Amino acid sequence: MKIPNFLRKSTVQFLLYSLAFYLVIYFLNQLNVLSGYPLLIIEISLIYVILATSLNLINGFTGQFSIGHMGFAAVGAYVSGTLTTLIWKLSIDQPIYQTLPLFVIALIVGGIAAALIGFLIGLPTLRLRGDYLAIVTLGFGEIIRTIINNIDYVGGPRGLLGIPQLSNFTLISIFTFLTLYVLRGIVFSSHGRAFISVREDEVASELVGIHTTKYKVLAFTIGAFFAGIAGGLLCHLIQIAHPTQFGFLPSFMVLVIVYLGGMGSLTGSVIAAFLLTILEKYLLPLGLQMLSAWTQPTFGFQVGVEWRMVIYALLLIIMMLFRPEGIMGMKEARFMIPEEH
Amino acid sequence: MLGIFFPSISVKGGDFVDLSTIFNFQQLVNGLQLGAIYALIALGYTMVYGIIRLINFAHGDFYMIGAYSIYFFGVYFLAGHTGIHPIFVFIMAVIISMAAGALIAVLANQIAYKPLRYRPRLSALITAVGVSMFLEYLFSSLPFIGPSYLAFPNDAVIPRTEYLLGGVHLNNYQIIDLGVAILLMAFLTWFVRGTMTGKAMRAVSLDKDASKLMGIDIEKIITITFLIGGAFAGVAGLLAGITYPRINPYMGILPGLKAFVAAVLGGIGIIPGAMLGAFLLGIAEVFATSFNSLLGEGIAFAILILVLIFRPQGLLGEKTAEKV
Amino acid sequence: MENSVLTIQTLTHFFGGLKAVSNFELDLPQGVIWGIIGPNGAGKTTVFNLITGVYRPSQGKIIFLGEDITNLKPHSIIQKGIARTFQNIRLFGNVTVLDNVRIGLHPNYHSSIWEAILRSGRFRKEEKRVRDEAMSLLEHFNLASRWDEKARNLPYGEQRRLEIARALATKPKLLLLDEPAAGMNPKEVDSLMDLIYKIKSEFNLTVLLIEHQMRFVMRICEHIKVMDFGETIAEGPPVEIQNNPQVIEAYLGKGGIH
Repeated sequence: MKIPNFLRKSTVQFLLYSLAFYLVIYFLNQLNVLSGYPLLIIEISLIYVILATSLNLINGFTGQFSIGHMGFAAVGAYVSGTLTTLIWKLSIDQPIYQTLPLFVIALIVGGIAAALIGFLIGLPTLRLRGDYLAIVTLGFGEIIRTIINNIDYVGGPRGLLGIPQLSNFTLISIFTFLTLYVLRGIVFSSHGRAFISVREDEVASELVGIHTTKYKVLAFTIGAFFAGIAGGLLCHLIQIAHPTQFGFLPSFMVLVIVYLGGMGSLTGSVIAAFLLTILEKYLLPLGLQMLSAWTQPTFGFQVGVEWRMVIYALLLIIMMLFRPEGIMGMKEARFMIPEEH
Repeated sequence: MLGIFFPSISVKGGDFVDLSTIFNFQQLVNGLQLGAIYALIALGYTMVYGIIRLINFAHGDFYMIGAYSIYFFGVYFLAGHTGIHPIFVFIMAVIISMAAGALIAVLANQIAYKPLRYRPRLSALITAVGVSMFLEYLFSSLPFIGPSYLAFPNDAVIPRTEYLLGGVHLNNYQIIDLGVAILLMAFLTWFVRGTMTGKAMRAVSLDKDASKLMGIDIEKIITITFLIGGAFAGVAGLLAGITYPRINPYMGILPGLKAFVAAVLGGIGIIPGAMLGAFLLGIAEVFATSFNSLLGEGIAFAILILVLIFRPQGLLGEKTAEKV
Repeated sequence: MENSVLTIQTLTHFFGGLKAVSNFELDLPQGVIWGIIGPNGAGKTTVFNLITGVYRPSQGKIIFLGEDITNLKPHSIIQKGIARTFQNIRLFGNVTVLDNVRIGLHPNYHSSIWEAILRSGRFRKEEKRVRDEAMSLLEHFNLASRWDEKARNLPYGEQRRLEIARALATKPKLLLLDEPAAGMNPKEVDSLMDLIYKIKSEFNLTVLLIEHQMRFVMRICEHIKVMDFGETIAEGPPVEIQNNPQVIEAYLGKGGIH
């Protein structure tokens, strides 16, 4: 059988795969196969795809070492949550043609606010080498959290409660596919090669005429924008924005996804986001139960879910020791590489 | 990162801000005390960075482990053995905390960092984040430790006594913190300047390849660096435990970061720089906290960013140009 | 000078207390190949770093095609038309040979990031132009067949050539070569010389190079400056330099020649 020519185009393939993924999940949900918890897991996985691919632009493609990515998500979550919940007082009982446009605007405003913060963080860190940058981004995450804790209007340490559940599978899917489409467009262009040259050798990059500081700030700004969107989607899914959701722990999880998938591979981040979320929600509780069956009689204690972070940390160390390039290395699936011209 | 900040020193005062309550001798003493603890952590940070150019994120956790070692020492040993001379108890505590910190530091180096020595620098940094997370969550998951605060047996280790000296409240913990820190810093200065091993350490930090050609066993020097750094962090955990007697598995994160800031402030890789930076940071933090608690929490990072913008080589550092 | 490409006046640079370059002067005419020689640590590479803005000079002035570039950022200096290679090759190792050259073409790329996302017509045209230009450069350097290879997997000689190709991608008028013949055998050095002559005339370049291999320098350079401890100790045509007692002393030490 002859495959029509246009189907060989990777962009067409990308759109088809996205659509297929969406439709399969959608119908499985309609048939009640995936309703409730499993669907929520998929939605959260998709949000992690946005977070991980956008962090990959900063860490994997541009070679910076940002470890406070959730700080940007917090900005997006709180800004969009404030708009929908406190200012516009939206509720899911309102007709969708009223809420949807406002929600999308709120998400984008949240993304822009996060991008602005990313830009501001990027500026002073321009001159920093990777390892200093790590400390600054970590400190930045702490500062964001401290500030949120001290703003009573958004609930302070109690969190922002009663956020309307405006996120749904369709919307999350659309934003995820858009993120992937935009990022692959950027990465596979001359601008993308400029990002990569900064990672490969910053001095050499500057000395072939690349404005390296511009590209570093740009990476932070774009990465923060998508993290902000993801934060907005997340808090409108689980209906709460809480300072601890955006602390170092979830930031660390995103970091693990990026390195597990492969630095500089969008495909890897997508795979790892699903893998790790499913691992966390299904395999880990099962494994820990089995482990408890041994530790309970032997040592007298259960290995509860709190051990998952121990396992993530071990996973990261073992991976860095034995497979530092991650699942995909720097390779991409074909449909993630747009045609050049 | 679960919102556990380093216990800040609160100031009694009226509703209005009286500058004399902020900038006074009492606060200076409190600042020096905090600085002494930062200094002990910062020294290990700066030494490890000087030798293998790694920001060892797990360094703050060595400090946490030092504190826990004494918690268990108090609960399982001191509770059953009363009547030991207090000085002897304290010396035992110092030795145990140093041994605990050193042991974990050397293990972390052997298992997690050594295999990555000749890989890109970022690999070791990511692993360091992993080691840090592993230690923190392991401790908070272990049923006999747990994530919540535990009371540190400070009175069992050394009972608190207060003095009033010319209107300034002093206590023996402040004297002990400063005394131990100064003693160890003096030891380290002698060690690095006066012994062959110390000279080898300085040689390795200047030029690894040349040192190797001169017959220095690089790995041995790195191990000794981790050993000393870990021991200092461990004893800092003991001092912090008796001074601010509530400990939890995440207690090392912020002091670790702040000690790193202190090291950068003084000039990373420079031992006297870490001491200077730590005392300056301790004092700045106490003064800032008494002004406004949010400012106190943020001042370390504000200092970090300012230093990196205006004097990236630190106070005592010399400007070096990257080789092209 | 009327047709001078690069004019350097009283260029001085300190590293801490060390005077790495002292009162360096240069008036480089259009279309020549000049060389800087000197023992290790003489300050040659520092001069290149000062010209390209990696270091900011402590003192002095650098004028390129009539424009003062002394305090510009490296990428702006490169965009004005100076390109360089490195003593220890600095390629982008994990990307392909083609992409190394395409990155060099990026400063002359005229399509925004928005167009890249939307894959607009102009974007496609630009990408095609960049690709074609890069391939034709690679052909010049006999590297076209390796376009898909990762740069770090190339043999040493090809890496050196690729680095020059990448430098030329920035469309320079002045090319600075930092020890281009380092680590090459005599046969490779000969073909490198041919290559330099060839690109010089084809791309209408002026070349300033640093080199240790005397045979190479003496044959290719029309004019040589000799540096020692940051100072310029001699300059002139190769024949003159070869017989200059000061130069011989700097290289062989006092009493080295009997």
